[in-house]
Amino acid sequence: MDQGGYEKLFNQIVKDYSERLYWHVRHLVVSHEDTDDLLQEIFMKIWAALPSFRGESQLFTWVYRIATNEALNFLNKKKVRAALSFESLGDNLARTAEADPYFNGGKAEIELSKAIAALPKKQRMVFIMRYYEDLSYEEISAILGTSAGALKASYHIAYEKIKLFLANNV
Amino acid sequence: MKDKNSYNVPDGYFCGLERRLSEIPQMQTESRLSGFRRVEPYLALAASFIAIFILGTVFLNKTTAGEDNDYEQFLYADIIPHTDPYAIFGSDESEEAITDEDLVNYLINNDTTLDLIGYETEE
Repeated sequence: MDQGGYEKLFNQIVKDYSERLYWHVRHLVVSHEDTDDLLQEIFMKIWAALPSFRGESQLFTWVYRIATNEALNFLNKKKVRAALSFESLGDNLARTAEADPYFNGGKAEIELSKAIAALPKKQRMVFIMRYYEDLSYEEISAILGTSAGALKASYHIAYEKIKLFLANNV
Repeated sequence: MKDKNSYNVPDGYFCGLERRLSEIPQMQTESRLSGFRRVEPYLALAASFIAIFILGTVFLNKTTAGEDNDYEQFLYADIIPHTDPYAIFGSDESEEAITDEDLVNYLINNDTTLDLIGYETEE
């Protein structure tokens, strides 16, 4: 494929997936500004990696995997920064949500974002993708590389943990 | 999305987002070209330093070539036959020959004993 072909494909990806990826990342990082910055980096990575995409997976899965990895890297750095201030990631994200002018949820939504942030990585991902984005277990399995059965179990555990957290904190 | 009432975005955000993201291929191409242009002056500077170094080395080698003669004489001293002391210790320049008196004075001044020179006296 020549440069023009890649540009055409890239523009199609932008058109089809930019909004979807925005919400995917936003649920993880909470802040609109952080999401906007991350999206730029994600699509730059997609553009750079496009020549190496050989169609082994679906385009949707491939694009989601890049976005997920970037968001998780961002959260890992945020976790370290939070720890240096003796703060948990959940508290840090709650503070971010409260300060974000584009967050209009109440205390319950803030506690929910804290509960999600407190989950282990895989449970957090499967919960967000299933609960907020209505992805099927098969789609999540293709993105995360975990079996659908294991994901169902993870989701169930995550759900119970969140329920308990909210019962104790709201 | 279930939580659209919790998270929202600025008006017209997604239209602007698509436009900005679509500019990425062009931005990446321009930054690849400008990357070399940024490095070009430093490469030129490094090349001129290397040229000065090489020229300086060549110049120094040409002007100090004669000073190597003494070193080469010493270096090849091993191939001069040991049976020809004059070839080792002599030189082209005329110098005063060492006399026997010189030798005697040297030996006395350096506390040389009879034993060292193997002198036997008749008793």
